Amino acid sequence: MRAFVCVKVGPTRKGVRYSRSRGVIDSTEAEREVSLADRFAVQLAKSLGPERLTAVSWAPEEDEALLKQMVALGADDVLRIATPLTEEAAHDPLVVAWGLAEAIRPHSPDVVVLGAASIEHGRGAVGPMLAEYLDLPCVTQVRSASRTDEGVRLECREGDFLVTIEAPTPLVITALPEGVTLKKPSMLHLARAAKAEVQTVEVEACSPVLRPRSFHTTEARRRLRERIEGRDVAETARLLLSRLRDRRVLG
Amino acid sequence: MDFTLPEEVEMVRRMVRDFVKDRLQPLADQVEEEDKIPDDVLQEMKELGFFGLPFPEEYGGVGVGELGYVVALEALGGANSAYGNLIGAHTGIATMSIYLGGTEEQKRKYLPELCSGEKIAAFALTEPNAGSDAAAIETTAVRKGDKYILNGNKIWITNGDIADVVIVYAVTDKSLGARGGVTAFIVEKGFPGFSVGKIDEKMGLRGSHTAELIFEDCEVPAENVLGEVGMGFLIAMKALDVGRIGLAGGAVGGAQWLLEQCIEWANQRVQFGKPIAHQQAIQWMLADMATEIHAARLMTYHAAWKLDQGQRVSREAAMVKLFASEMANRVADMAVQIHGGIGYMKEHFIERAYRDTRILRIYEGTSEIQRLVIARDLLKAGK
Ligand SMILES: Cc1cc2nc3c(=O)[nH]c(=O)nc-3n(C[C@H](O)[C@H](O)[C@H](O)COP(=O)(O)OP(=O)(O)OC[C@H]3O[C@@H](n4cnc5c(N)ncnc54)[C@H](O)[C@@H]3O)c2cc1C
Repeated sequence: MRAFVCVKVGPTRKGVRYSRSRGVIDSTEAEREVSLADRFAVQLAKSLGPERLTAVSWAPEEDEALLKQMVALGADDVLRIATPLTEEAAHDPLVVAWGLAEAIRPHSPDVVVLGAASIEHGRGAVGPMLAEYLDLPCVTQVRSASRTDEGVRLECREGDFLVTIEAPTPLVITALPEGVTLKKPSMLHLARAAKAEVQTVEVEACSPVLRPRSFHTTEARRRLRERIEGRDVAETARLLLSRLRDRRVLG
Repeated sequence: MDFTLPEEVEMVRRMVRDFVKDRLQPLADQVEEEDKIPDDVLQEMKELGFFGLPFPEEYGGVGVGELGYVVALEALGGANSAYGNLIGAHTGIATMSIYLGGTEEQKRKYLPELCSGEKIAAFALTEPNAGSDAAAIETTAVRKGDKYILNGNKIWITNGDIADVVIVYAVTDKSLGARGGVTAFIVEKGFPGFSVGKIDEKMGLRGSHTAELIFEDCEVPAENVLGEVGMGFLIAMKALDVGRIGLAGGAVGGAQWLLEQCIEWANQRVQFGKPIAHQQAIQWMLADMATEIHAARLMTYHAAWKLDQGQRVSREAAMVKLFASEMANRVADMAVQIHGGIGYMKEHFIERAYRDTRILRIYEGTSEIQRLVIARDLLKAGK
């Protein structure tokens, strides 16, 4: 089984500041980490006992040390996607899914696992989008997984219930870190991880269908940003609604 | 000159720091009250690799060298001393004796289980009549066929009550003196004639036990001679060189943790209408503490680095053991002073730290003996 697990490095809460003067949340000074959800995804992928598990991430070079820690958690190697796209583009789930697909497709994966919480705030959107790009089926909200002769057995959350699904491979899975304890990597694995090498794959540019202004004309996008602030929450909400109507976002 | 820690060492440091904060610190009072490291914590420490840090992977170790080991012990400084003590005796001097002095066969046989923590080791040199004067040991080992028969008592042996493997130093030829006449043996729990005697009541270090070990016609197979007959004293001294550097790492970590507690307390405690941190007398103590910790840390890292380069470190090991242990005691004393009365109360962790720190100047060679080692080396080398 050839498996991939997609992880993202992001800021921890420590060091994130709200700049009142600029009206922005500033995470430039924040410590960075691979989120619990994504670390769980590595653990889940590892539990399938793949012959090779590659952690893949769309991340700047500075994050390589953190990406190497995925080796300590069980990945065999790490693939970092380098792209000329703006950082802003990396915040769009569709673009990220497209980039991941470009990097993963040539390896004909049997399983691709993603964490539930990253840029889309826990909604697990990248997984199904990536599945579309790879033309693979997708199972979401997976709590645990094991391998069978034909494919995989997955325990998934469906509302208040847990269901078990037997699925053939290849497929895409989004992991749900629910009621799990993450295994701590041993110091031996950490030491090995530190010596691991991160491979880089260049993803040239965005797909033509995904090349709308929004990803490249960041200046223009920035100019469109507006801060709406009322005396209290109710007034702010009223102002926001009227502005959305002005701009015909709401009817 | 590059002072950055290698990436693998940095990862180990972070991991141990988090483990101390999340897992060990919440159990601090329990360990103190029950005088025991909880079994599940011990198991976790084994799985995480705490027991084989400096040894190469081929023997089941983590392979982060002495520097990685020292940094891990430093990061353990925020936990009860019991943990560092357990590992210091097991890894730093006992398992280290096998690694430094053992035959290839002995290393392959014992190191993997010791590195994984499946088996715990102890180092038994001290006797009732031989402490600082380790060459005066009286435990004897006499060859009888394919066995050695050991007779004698060892005292204050850390991990003595829980050890599966004990490195025992005994006289095989009195006429040759320490160098040539002392041999090290690998004694396993269960060898006939080996038993654990009294477990000591100590001033501190609760959770870490020292015990008397009794050898009454104890039968040890001849293949369990560690390395070669007559090389025991040399192996002990080499292992102690390494152990002293690790001990210094622990001293630095403990002192750093005390400093952080003091800063927090000084900012909190209000007297004369303002936090005591505003008083220059307190600030000077904090500055002295930080300066001494910094010096000890650099000395310790340097000695560990030198050892990892395969260089001789006897003098540096004695220097860092002397300086770091004395520094840690000065820091602990200032920590009580900064805390005032509360620092003297049993309910407060500063009181525990003060008691635990005191031993650093005594075991693995007293401060006086370290000065002796340094001075002898200086006079021999002329510089
Ligand atoms: C908690 C604890 C754990 C220990 N764990 C172990 C262990 O795991 N294995 C082991 O083998 N031993 C262990 N020991 C023993 C320890 O190493 C000895 O206590 C230490 O080496 C000092 O020996 P001593 O206590 O006999 O003191 P002594 O040698 O009697 O010394 C008493 C005093 O005289 C001074 N002195 C002695 N000789 C000289 C000299 N030539 N010049 C100047 N001053 C001198 C000493 O510095 C000291 O101040 C442990 C001890 C304790 C308390």
